[in-house]
Amino acid sequence: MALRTNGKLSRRELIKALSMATAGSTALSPLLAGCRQSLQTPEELERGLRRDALDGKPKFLIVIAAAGGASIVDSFLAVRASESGPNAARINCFPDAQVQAVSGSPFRAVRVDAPKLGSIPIAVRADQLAFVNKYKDDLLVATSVGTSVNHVIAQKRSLTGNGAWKGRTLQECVALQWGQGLPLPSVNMAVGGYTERGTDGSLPASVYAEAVAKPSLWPLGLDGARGVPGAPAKDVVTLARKARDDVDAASVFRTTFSESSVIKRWVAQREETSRLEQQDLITRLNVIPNMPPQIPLTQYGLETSPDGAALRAAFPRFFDDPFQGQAALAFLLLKYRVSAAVTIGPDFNVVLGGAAGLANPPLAFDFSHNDHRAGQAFMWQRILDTADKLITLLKAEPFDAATGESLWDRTLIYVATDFGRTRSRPDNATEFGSGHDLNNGFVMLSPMVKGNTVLGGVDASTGLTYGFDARTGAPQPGKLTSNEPDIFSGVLHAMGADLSGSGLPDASAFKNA
Amino acid sequence: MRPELSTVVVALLLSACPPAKVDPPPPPVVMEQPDAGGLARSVTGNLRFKGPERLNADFAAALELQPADVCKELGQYACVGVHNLAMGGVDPYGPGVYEPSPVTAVTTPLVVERLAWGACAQRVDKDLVAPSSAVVFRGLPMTGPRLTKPDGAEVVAIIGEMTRRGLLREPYENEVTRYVQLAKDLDGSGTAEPARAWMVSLCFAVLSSSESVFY
Repeated sequence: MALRTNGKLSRRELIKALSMATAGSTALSPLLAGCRQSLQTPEELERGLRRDALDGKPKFLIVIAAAGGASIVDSFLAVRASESGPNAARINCFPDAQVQAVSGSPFRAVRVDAPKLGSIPIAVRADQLAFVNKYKDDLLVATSVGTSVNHVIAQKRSLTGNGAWKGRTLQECVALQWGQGLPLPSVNMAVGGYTERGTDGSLPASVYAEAVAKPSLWPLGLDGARGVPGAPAKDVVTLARKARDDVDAASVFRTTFSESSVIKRWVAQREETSRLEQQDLITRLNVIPNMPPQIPLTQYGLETSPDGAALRAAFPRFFDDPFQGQAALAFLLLKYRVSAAVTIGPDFNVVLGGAAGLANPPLAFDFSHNDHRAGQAFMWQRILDTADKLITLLKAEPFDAATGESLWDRTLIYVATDFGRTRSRPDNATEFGSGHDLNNGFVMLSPMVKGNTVLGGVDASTGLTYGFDARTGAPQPGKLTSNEPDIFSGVLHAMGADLSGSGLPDASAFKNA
Repeated sequence: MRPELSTVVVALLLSACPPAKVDPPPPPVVMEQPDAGGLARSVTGNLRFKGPERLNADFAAALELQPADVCKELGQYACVGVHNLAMGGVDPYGPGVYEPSPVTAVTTPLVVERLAWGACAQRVDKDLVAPSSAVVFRGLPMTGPRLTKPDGAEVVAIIGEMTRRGLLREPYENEVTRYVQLAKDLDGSGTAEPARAWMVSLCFAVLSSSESVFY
C-alpha cells in the first residue's frame, strides 16, 4: 500500500485498508476478549480478586471480639431515665447524670461507679467520656438485629454477616484483598465462634487464619531452630533440611500419598519456611524482654523486638493478660506487614491483676447474667482502654512517607460481638442480670468510616435499637428486622473493598466520603 | 529359709544386676530398594497429622526421652503447650477450640522442626557425654570432633538405628546414600563439630520427615 503524494489514501487503498482492518478485528476479537476475560472471569470476580483501584496499597482490619455480648445501650447509645417515660423503672436505662452528652456528637458516654462486680468484691469505676471525645470523629455505631442468641453461632455470624458472601468471614475477605503476598494474611487470637473459618472452601488456603493461643510466646514458632538449645547453626540447618527433603521426595510414603492434598499442602508449606525465617519475625514480633534469670533470652540466642519497650509500656501486662498480649502482637503484625487481618479479644476466663486486682471477669461480657450494669461497664472499659492504646500506637506509626499516612489511616477496628442483652430489669434495680437479645449495635473505629455517626437509633421507651437504610444512612424507626449482611457489607464498603459479584447490599452509608 | 531357696534368690538378684558394659553398636542394616514403579498410589490419600501429644510421645519414645523433656521454649514452657494450636491441638479452656484443625497451619512445619531439633540435640548430647550408656548414637568412631570415616559401616549402622526408631522400618538404599552424603557434606562444611552436627541432623531429618509426622 502506498500513499499518494499528498499523504492521503486513494479510494481503492482506503477500501483495502478498511477490509484488512475488519478482517483483523474479526480474527483478533475473540483473542482480545479472551485476554480481558482471563483477567476478570466471573470466578475471579466472585472471589473478589479485582483489587481496589484506588492505590493498591494494603489496608488492615483489626477485629476486637467482644465475647459474651457487648451491649450498645450500655455504651454509646445509652438511654437516660428521663427519656424512657413510664417504662423507665423497668428497662435498662440510666439515671440521667450517668449518661454524658458528647459535645458535637450523637454519641453518649456512660459513667458507672459501682461498689462491687456481682459477687466479686471489687469496685467498678468506668467512664467512657474520654474515649468518645478522643475518637468520635473516627467512630461509627450501626444498630443491628442478629439471628442467634447462641454464643458460638452468633459470634461467627457477626463475622460472616450470617453467610452474606458465601459464608466467608470479614477477615478472609480482607486477607484475600489486601493480604496476598503477606506471610500470614490473617491471624486469629480470639475465642469460640470468632476463631472459626468461613464456609467458602474455594478461597486460597492462605486466607484462612493462623490460630494463636499464646500471643507472647507464639513468635518463637516463627523459626525452625533459633532459640532451641543445642540446635545447630543456620548452615547446618539448611543442609539437614535439604537432605530430609531429598529423602522425603523419593520416599515410598510420599510416592504412595503423592495425590493427597494433605501432603501437597505440607510440602508447599515446608517450602515457605525459609522465606518466613528470613524476615526475622522471631525477633520482630517478640515483646518479651531479656530478663535473666527468669527469661534469659540472650542465653537462647534470642532478642526482644525493636518495638518491645514501647509495647511493654503500652501493654505492661502483656504476658499474663492475654488480651494485652494480643493487642501488642496485633500492632506488630500490622507494622511488619505480616498480616492484613488480625482478630483479638478477651476470653471467658478470669484474669487476675491490674489496678482493681481483676483484669477479666469470668465469662467476659456474659458476666452480665450475674450483674449486668457493672459487668458491662467493666468490660467496655477494658475494650476501650485496649483500643485506645492500639490506636495511639497505630497513629504514631508512619505508613507512607509520600502521602503522610499513618498506619491508623489504613486500619479499621471492628468491635464484633455476639449479641445484645435483654432490656428488662426489676423496678429501678441498679444490680440486675440480663439475658441474650438479638437487638444491639456494632462499633467501628477508623478514619475510613463515616465518623461521628450513628446509623439507626434507639427507641427510648423500650431501649431497643431500630434500623437504618444501609445505602443512605436514613434512620428507619420501627425497623426491627435482621440486618447482619448490612453490617458485614458496611465494614467492607468502608475499607473500599472490591465487592464485585458478592451480591452484598450497598452499604455506602458506612464509608467516609 | 531353705538353702535351695536362698541360692535361687541370690541368683535372681545377681541376674538383675549385670556388670556394667558398653552397649553393642547397632545391628547391621538390611537395606531395601524402593520399588517406585510398582507402588500403588493411595486413592483416598486420607492422611492425618499426628498432632501435638502423639508427635511428642513418638519423638520421646524413639529417642528414649521423657515426654515432658522433649522440647521446652526458653527452657521452661513445653513446646507442645506453646505451639499446641499450630500443631493441630485443641484448647477448650483457652480460646475455646474444641476440634483439631483439619489442615496444617503455615507455622506447623516450623514448630515440628523445633520439636525435632530440641529432642535430637538432647539425645545426641546425652549419648556423647556417656558413650557407655548411649542409646542411639553408639559405636561411632570419631577423631576429635569429626567422624573417622563418614561413609563407614558404623555410620550406616547409625542411619539404620535412627530409621528403625523413627520410622519403624529398615532404611532404603537411597536414604543411606543421602545421609552418608550429608555426613560428607558436613565434614567438609567447616562446621566446628561435624560429627555432632551430623548426628543431630540425621535425627532431625528422620523425625521431621513426612512419614514421621503423618499417619
